[in-house]
Amino acid sequence: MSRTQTQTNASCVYGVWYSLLFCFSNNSRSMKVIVKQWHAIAQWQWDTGKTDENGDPEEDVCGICRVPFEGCCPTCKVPGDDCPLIWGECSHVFHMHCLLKWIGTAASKQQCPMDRRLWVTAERKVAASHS
Amino acid sequence: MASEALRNQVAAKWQDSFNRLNRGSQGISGLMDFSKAWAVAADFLRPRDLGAPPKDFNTHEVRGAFDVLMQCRMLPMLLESFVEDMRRNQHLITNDVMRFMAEYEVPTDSKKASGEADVIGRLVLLLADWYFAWAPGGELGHTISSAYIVNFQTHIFSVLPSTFAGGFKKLLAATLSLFTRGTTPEIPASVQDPKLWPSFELLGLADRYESLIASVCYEHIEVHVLETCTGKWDEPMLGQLREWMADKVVPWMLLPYARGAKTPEEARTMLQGVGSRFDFHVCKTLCDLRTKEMFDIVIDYPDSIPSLHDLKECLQRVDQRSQLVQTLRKANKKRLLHPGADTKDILTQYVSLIRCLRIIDPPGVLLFKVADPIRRYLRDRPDTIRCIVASLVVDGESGDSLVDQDEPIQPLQTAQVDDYTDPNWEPEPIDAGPDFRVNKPSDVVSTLVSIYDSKDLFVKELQVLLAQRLLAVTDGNYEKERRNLEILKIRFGEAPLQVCEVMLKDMTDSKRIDQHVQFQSSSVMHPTIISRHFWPQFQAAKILLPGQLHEIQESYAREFTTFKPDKKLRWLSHLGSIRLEIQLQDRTISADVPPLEAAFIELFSEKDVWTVGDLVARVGPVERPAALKALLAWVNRGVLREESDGADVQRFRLLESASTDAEAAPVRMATTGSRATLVEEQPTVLTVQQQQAGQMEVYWKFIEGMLMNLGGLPLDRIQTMLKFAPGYDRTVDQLGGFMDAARREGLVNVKDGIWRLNR
Repeated sequence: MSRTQTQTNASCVYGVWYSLLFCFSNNSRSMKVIVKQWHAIAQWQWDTGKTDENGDPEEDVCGICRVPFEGCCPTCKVPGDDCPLIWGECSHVFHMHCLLKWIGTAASKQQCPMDRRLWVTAERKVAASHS
Repeated sequence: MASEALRNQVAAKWQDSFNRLNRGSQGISGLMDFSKAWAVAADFLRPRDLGAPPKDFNTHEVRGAFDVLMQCRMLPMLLESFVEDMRRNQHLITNDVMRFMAEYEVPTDSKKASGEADVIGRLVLLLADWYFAWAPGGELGHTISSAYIVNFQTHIFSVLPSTFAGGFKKLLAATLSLFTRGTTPEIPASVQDPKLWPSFELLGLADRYESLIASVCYEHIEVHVLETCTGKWDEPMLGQLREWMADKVVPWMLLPYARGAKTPEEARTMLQGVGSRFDFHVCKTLCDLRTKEMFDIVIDYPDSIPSLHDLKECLQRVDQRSQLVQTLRKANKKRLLHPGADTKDILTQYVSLIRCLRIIDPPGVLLFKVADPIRRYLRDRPDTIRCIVASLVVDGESGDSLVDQDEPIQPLQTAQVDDYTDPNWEPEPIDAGPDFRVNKPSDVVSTLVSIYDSKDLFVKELQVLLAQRLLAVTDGNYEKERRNLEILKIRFGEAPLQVCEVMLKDMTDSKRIDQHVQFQSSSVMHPTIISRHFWPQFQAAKILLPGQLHEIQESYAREFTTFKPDKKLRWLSHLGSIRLEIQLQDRTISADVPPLEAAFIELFSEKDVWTVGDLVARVGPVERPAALKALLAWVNRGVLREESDGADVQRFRLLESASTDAEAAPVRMATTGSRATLVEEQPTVLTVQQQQAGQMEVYWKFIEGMLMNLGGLPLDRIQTMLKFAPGYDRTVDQLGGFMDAARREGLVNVKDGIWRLNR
């Protein structure tokens, strides 16, 4: 009994001690960094579904015009939303303008230029997989 | 008989002479008259000492005597005897001349030029007195007086010592300064004597020393021009000089050059030739002076325009264009084109030079000749393009732009092909060199850009500059940059600057996206989102931001992806700036810091003491100097303290309360402060040179393989082979420079133009 008492006492003491210690150390951790404003720089990138988290991704180019996706197709001058990509069911991705021009030619037979399967535009395939 | 005949002849001669002298008078009374007349005339003519009392002659008697002699046709005899008399008395004059010249030559220091001039002046006046004293008088006819003059002058010139010329020059100079400077007490009376110039004339000095007179005038002009015009570039001097000539020198010139002119018109015609000679000399002197000063005139450019107009006018009279070119080239080489001169200064001087020489020589031949070395030198300078570009986009308010703000902005001009149908065609100027190109008065920017063969380099450099400026903008105000870009578009054309256009569009897009994201969930982060193929390459330094910084990034990226479902963000974490507030026990510090510094201080909120190595390990691939610099920045702010326990390990401790380090802080600040400056500030955007060097490393592999497989190759062969490599766009010169660099590094060697690998 008394032993338990002492034990509780001891644990009490220790508890207080620890809490004191904790308080003290907590006190010493009062340093706080607050971000007020951040002017950051970022590059945008098409989310082509390929995960390239580690290291620099191998530059993906449009299979038709050989220009990087983040560049713009030969007829455009401004990249991004003005020169979007188009995803096919066959998982191939092109600049939309490039592909539409290709599909517009008779020789294309409405096929994907990469695998000669009939071109079917995917419905936001990548975005859907993300969400 | 011969003797009979001779006698007869002598008798006849005698009779004849007698008759002539006797003039048919009774007995020998004619002869008596003649001898009396001879005595009177000879006495009248006899040269006397100046000091001797003048004899009083009865004019009538003398005239009668001469008449008698004339009738007897004995005047030549009389003349001869007169000349003989003169010769006998010459020593009188000689003595005087010697006396004066001795006085002149006495070497005394105190004697000034005016004093010397005075001695000579008095000598001349005295000689004139002698002349008048001995002169036979005009009424005796031309023969006698001219013979007298010849004899007198011959004698004088024979006795005047060689030093007289120098003295005479001083005298002339004194008379000239009398006219130009006005009467001063320093000028002795003899110089001011109005009889002086007639005396020169009488003694024949004016004719004999004509070149001396001219040289006196030349020298005087030179002195005056140097005195009045040296360093005086801000007002036109030529007009003033000409006025000075007309007011001061021409009245003097009337004396020697318009002697005997009776009317002003006559004087003017007499002065015409010599006047234009002196005017030429004024121009030449001024031209020499300005040529010598040209470099400084160019430095002073906008203020020195009047002097340039002067020089232009002078050059039209004096053909000294080649001297101007040579002097200026020499001055440029010595004072401008050396490693000590700042590129910006060279450019400024070049631009001023362009403007100056356009004033002097509108067709631009001079400019072409002078500018050629400067252009070649500038082409070799690595930072020329950057300087030019920086001055192209310089802010209006900084005001040190190379380009005039009011100069109309025009498209760059390219070399024009001759228009053979142009009715106003003019041939090239006569002193144009074979490679002279007529460039029409084009604007300064075109000239600067034409230093290089292509304008692509400029566009690249512009892109880098624009990137640096855009990334530095934090308040979202890009109007200035847009305005700059529009101006540049006019100059360089729309197409090359398309890239820059995209960059600006990125800026506005980021702003719009940010507004949208902020509306969704407010964030402290306002990123600039760029299209990476349209921006210059950035230094690759992928740092991982710790703690809350990373969370902020992540949440923003999430919001972005919701807004633009098919795009994602890749952070360039090492770029940008963060405003932090650091709350410590006893103080709060706020600062704008680069991300690396923010990352470090964020880590210090985990624990108080970090070694540099641990910090770097947490943040990622950061070079140690950069990391140290970031930490020292915090040390300087008094947030961290550097601790060293003797080992190589550097530790940093967070200072919760400033007071604990009160005594150590200042010392620490001093040492770290100096150390912080050692670390060089690195630009975040890679310059064009760095980019090119990076690309060249790729081609080095090709070159290495080529030389390994094919042995030695000449430079142009390497160039041809490299052309096959994708994206290779260097010139042979650039390749040559690269190969030279490789040789310096000991990778290759070259012999007789063949490059080989070093093994």
